[in-house]
Amino acid sequence: MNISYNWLKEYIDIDLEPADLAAKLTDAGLEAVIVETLPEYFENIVVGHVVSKEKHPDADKLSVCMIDLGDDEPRQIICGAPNIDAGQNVPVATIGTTFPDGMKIKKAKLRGVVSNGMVCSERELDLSEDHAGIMVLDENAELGMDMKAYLSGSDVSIELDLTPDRPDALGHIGVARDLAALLGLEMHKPEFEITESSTPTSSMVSIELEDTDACPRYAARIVKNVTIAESPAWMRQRLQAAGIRSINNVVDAANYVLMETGHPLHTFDLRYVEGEKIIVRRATDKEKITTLDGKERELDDSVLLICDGVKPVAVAGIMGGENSEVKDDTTDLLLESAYFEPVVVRRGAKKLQLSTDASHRFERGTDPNGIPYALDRLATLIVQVAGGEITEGQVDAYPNTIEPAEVALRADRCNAILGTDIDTATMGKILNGLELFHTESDGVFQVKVPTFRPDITREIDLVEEVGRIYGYNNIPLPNHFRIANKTNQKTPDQMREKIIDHLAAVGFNQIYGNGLLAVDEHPLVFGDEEAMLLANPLSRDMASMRSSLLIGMAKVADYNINRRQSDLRLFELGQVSTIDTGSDTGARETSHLGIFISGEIRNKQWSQAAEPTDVFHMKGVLISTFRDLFGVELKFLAAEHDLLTEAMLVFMGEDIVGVLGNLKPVNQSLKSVSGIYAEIRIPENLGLNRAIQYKKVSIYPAVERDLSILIDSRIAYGEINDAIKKNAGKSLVYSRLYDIYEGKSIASGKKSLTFRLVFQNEKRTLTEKEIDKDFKRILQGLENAYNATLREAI
Amino acid sequence: MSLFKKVDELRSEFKQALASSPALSDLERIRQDFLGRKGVINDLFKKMKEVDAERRAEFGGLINELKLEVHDYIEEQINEHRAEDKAISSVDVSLPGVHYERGTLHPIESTLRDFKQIFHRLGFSVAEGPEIETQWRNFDALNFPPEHPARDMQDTFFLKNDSVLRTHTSPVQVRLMLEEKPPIRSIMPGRVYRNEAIDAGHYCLFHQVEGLYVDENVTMGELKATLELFCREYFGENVKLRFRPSFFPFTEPSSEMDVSCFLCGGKGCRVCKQTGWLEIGGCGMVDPNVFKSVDIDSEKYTGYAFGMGIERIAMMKYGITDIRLLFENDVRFLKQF
Repeated sequence: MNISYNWLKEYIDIDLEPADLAAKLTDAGLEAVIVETLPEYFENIVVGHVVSKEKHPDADKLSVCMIDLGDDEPRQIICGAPNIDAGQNVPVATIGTTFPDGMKIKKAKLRGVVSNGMVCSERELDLSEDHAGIMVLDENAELGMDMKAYLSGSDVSIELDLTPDRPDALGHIGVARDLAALLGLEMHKPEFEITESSTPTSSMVSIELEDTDACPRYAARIVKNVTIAESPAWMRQRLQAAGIRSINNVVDAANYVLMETGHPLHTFDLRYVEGEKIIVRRATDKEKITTLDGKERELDDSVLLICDGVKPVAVAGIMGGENSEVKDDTTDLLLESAYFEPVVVRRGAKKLQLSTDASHRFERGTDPNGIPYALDRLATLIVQVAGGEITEGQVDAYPNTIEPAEVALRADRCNAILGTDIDTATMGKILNGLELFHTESDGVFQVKVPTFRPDITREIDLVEEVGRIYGYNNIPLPNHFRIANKTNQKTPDQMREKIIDHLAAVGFNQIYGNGLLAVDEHPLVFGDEEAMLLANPLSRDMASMRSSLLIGMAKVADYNINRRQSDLRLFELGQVSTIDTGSDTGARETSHLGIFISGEIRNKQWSQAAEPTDVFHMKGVLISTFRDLFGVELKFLAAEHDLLTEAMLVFMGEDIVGVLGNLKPVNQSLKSVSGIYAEIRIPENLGLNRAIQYKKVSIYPAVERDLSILIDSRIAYGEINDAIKKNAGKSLVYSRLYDIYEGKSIASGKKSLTFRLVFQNEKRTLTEKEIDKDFKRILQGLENAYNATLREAI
Repeated sequence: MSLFKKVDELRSEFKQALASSPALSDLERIRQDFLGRKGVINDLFKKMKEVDAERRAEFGGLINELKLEVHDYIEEQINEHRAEDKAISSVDVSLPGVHYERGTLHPIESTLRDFKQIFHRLGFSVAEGPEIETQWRNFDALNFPPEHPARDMQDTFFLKNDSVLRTHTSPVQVRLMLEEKPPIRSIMPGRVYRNEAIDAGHYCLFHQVEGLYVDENVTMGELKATLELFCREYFGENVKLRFRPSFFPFTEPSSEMDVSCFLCGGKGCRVCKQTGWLEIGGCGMVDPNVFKSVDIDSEKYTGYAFGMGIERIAMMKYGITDIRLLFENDVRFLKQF
């Protein structure tokens, strides 16, 4: 909402500059910025006085005018408008003016006669559709004044971005009230006297409320014999500053009172209100009305209607009907000032997909007890700008009075919450400034909350009011912090940070994937994924929650591979979800770790060979992550997998926690993605029970032996490694496979494995003899179980 | 000054330049300065025509002499340098080191880490909750009335079973307060979703960090002090903080918090849209209705809560102008952090 600086000054004597005023309002919660409502090129369009007008010697429709712009001497300007005449004040686009459509005013010859500018019509200035002739300005306008200054009356527009709890500030009076409290000034509402004719309004119209919950109050007045015309300049300027387009004097007056009081009003042409009555009722199913914007709208009973004796004439609180609209020949008016229940208007506006200045305010809550004031104000203003006479009295249907709420505020409680030491007198002053009138005893305020503040229903709401006006920025800061002697750490957050740090340290880039996927983007990584589906997705490709990290990862890989970045090491640690009807959200969420490797781990360098990737890289990354960080040994078993070749299942103890393998083409659109993928479900308690206990490092020498054996090539390394460990005895502290060979010089169907074995004792130096004995026992074991033979040195 | 004199002057300038035994790279620069296409000697050649015709040949000879002298001397110096280096080490130390590729934390992660570190120091622990929530925890328990616009389909993602994708991390507050008795002092980071069209400034999901402190006698002053310390730690000692009254269903009083623009220092620029301030989040005192829904006595306990968007702050800090970059995960982007 825009407010006008000059307008505001009618209600409060402020001497703040507009910028300071905006800052003050912002600090009090009415976020304010100064805005330009008129375009910049208006600075080049100035008021000119037509000194003389001659016919163009060579063109019938053109006039040669001498126009005084208030400077050295009048300029010769050619004008084609029929209505231009000597003695008028007109807007002149001077040389150099550039219009929004790109047209630039230059010195030019028209049929041989020089023209030094252009006289503008209202349409050329985008002020209205009027293009019948040039715009004629006020006869007292100052020559040379630019159109920005002329149209705004040198006013400043301030845009307010209001929170939805402050309907009271949706008009100038409400803003002035906050300023009064902030600045310690008096706010004065406009005062007026209403002159009525002797005809009682009640003899001409009656009101029936069918649903007093939806419409607790409806008041009307009648004004007869008005003359519809353009509004006076002062009113147009005000509305212009408030961002409202002028329509005619009656509609403008209603908008004027709306912007003044914040209360929406409506004017009907009395000719079309049939049956001398207004009925407020719910619409029936499929009932239709054509609203002011010319659209026919189908209704249901969520919509409240204003009807006359035979037909609907307006949608309550949202928009008037076309059938009862004020027109150029309207003479008699019915004025409406009513209170509609916010929820009803909100539902109606939603149903009609229509938001108006009126519905915006009714949805937030207008003042049911401000209705008579707004109605009288509108009636007198209409008479002031459009003539006519007001009939006697309001017709006011208000069966159940809405009383101001009584709310208590304890001064010490207020200070305890804000952390302030505001004395009772200051608090009382703040409350009074906001018209929160009260009695006070023993530091307890009994506040009568006016009905224009529907947001205040509890003590805490009053605490906010005191804090807001006192100034949040004036609340003092304590010098010390209290830290609770208690921990609430409830998450495996640190465990996850360790994983992330580890992977980043060994060369992986962390990604954050989009967690929303198409419903067919849930390949079975673990086999038990059942995706949670959205009821109102943004688009088809974001219609479900990810059930694994695979698709998100593949999309990121695809994005990068398409940009010639194919040596990728990526990981994501994030939540995935699957259906779980046992949970109150209907879902189970788990932390998953997805890892992707493609291309080369290391490109060829001058001293190093290229290092290609394979599934054992991934296996090594997983082993190091879980063993080194958490002391957890993973186990890997070969498995068939729809999405992976060379697939392995990953175990922690007896539980399958993950999969790993070469990614097959995931789907048609991601078919270019190839690489190694692993995904692990991170147990919540991972690493929680790990207690590192120091082991003494042996001071006795370690002895290395190499063991090279030939075995049937179908026997797995894992079996041999286990057998070595089983048979080795206590002295074997380390074994490492460093060569594996099949091929030439080895019998077919056989392979050779070569291990580096390290022997060491904690308490003494091992003798050669002891080591030989261990070595033989290992070999013996392998011979017996696997028919292994010792391979002679090559 | 005559051009002849200039030749002598250049010679002594050259000698002076070499007097300080310049390093190899400096020699290269000196060579450019004197012998380069835009060097001083070439400049002299261009002035040949200013010399009287009969003395031109003489002048040309002098310049050529100087040119040769400079050239030879520099070559000699360079060779000496190379010989010296070879004598010190038999390897070419300028060869590239073996490349170890470092991995990276995502900028959202590193921003979140910075936040956690500061709040850990202030005694906050970390709590988390699921991204799919019940409407009760996401709305009702947080004092959103049934007709609140945030509950519209156009703002919130609903699941087919009527759960919602949490629109803020605040339901974690609800979980925490139901599970724990005060004092409670936690931050709650996590991913949240809004039904918003995606553009440079908006994404359908983003991350928040929320903070909650519930105890006896918690005041708004403490809230301000906590956030001010956080901002000074994160944005720098000179940052100014501004609190503006606002409205959230789950806090009362409620406030927005702005920091002075770190780019212009508050004078007004493109980043802060000429206001001098950047909005970083919302905060306030826990609304008594929220305490009521989690069965905490609001007469005995008070509390404060605050929330900030991680992407927004990460974007400010790293100068990222399009939020989509954060979710595209281009490795050339990721490797910058």
